This record gives sequence, C-alpha cells and structure tokens, in this order.
Amino acid sequence: MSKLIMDRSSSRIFGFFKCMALLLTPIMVVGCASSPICKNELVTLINDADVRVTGSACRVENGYLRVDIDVQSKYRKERSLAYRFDWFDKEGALVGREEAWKPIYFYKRETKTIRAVAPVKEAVDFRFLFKE
Amino acid sequence: MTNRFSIMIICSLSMIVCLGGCSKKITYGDPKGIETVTVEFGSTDLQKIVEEMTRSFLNSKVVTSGLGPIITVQEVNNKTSEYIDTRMITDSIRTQLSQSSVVRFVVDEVAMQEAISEIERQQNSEYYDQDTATEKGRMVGAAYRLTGNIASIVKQNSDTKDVYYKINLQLWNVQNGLLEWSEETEIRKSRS
Repeated sequence: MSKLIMDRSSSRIFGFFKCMALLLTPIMVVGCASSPICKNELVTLINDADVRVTGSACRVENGYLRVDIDVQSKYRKERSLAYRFDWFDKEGALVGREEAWKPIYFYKRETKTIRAVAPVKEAVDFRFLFKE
Repeated sequence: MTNRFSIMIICSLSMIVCLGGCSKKITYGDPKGIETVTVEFGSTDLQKIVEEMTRSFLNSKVVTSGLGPIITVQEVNNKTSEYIDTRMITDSIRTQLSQSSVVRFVVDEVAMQEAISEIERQQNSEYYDQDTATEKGRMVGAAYRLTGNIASIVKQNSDTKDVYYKINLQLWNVQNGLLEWSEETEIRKSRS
C-alpha cells in the first residue's frame, strides 16, 4: 500500500516536472534561437585569397565576444597573408575602431586557428576579412 | 617663321614630357595596411602589438573584476638595436584602453612636470578665480603601473636579414608589488 502511495506521489512529482519541462522547453529553444551571438559570421576574401574557412566558433567571456576561425591555406607554397575583423552590435552597426591588417604566415596547405576578441562588449557579431 | 614656331612647339612638348616623366606620383595609402618597405620596426608591427596587448588586457582579472583600476604608464624599455619610439606603443595602448571606459589613467612620470606647472600657474596667477583654481594635493595615485620591454634578435648574411621582435608588457600592483597581468607577443620579419 505504502509502495503504491509512494508510486503515486512519485508519479505526481514526475508529472509536475514533465509539465514544467514541456512548458519551459519552447521558451528555452526560442531564447537560444533568438540569441544574437554570431548569427552572420560573414567571411570576405579579398584579392582572391586562396584559403578556405573550415570552421568557426564564438562564445562570450567576461562580456567580450571571442571568435575562433579555422583557416586552411590552399597554396602549394609557404605564404604570408593578412586578416582583420569588423565587429557589429546587435543592430548590425559597426563598433570599435577599424582594425589593422595583421600578417599571418602559413606553411603549404596548413590549417591555422585564428583567435580574436572583440574590442568592445557591444559586439555580438563579426565579419572576417582575409587577403593576399 | 614656320621653323621657329615648330621648334617652339617641340621644345614645349619636350618640357611637358620631361616634367611629367620626372615627377613622382603621390598617393594616399591605407594606414591600417600591411607595411613591408623594410624589415625594421614599422606601422604594422606597432598596430599588431597594440591590438593584441589591448585585447588581452581587457580580458585580464584586473579589468574584469569591475573595480575600474587606476593605472600609470611607465616606459617600455627599448632593448633592440634600432631606434623605436616606445611612447607610440604605450600612447596607443592607453588611448584604446581609455575608450573602453573600464580603466582610468593618471598622469605619468613624463607628463608630471607639465601637470605641476599648470597647477602652480593657476595657484599663483592673480588672473584666476581662486575658487575654481585647481588645488594642490588632489591628484589621485595609481594603484597599478604598466611597464614592459621590447627586444630583438637580428641575424644577417649577404642574402638574408631576419629580425625577431619580442614585446612583453606587465601590470604591477604598486601597493604590494604583485604582478597582476603580463602578456607577450612576437613578430618575425625577413628580407631575402
């Protein structure tokens, strides 16, 4: 009998959490889906830079957007290339100072992860520019 | 008469061609572009250092704790064999950090004499309203000092010159002498 009562109460508790989970799941999904972090991830290759972006990840740390971009050189020789980032706020407006072009050295067909931190906390998205 | 006229035209045309050919073309360039004129320290190196150092500093515990640290900038020692205006590095870092509004800077050692002169001028001049004149003894002391080193290794033979730069910046706690933040960045340039 007591087992039955316990089972019933467990079932009620389980049912309550199930209902809560069903109610909360769409809110969580909508919350995640509407997150403005790195929704565009625009990549612009200038001067026909022969590279391929093979992956990217972004996260917020200490309020600043951090971006990791995997870039593979398709050149058959060692090559010095250049990159920079543009940063955008949630309205899509450019934020922070214009970045300098930064040199990066690739061995033939090497893949490198370029790490960047946004200059201001308002930045939620970026554009990655790469050139020869 | 016709001959003289022809000679004059030929001379004028020659002058125009010569002037056009001799004058050098002047163009504006991208101040943020990659500069590879020589292997010596250049604008790209300066911009790379400033950007990397600033971003790293903004993510340091001193800044993210939200206490709004008060910093004084000291000299970055130039240990390279070439002349580098290291004030350009610290000035640019200070400018970018001040724009983030999470760090405050107090007058540094170099600008201190100018600051004292201005206070004394206001204090001692009868032209200033003494109610609004800056008082002595109201300057804020820095809790941290930013300093660093830039060093280089240069290797050269008849065909190639290779320069390696290493810059290190440190933030020291003035009160207890603790190193609160340090960052290093490297640059390698070759001419062959």
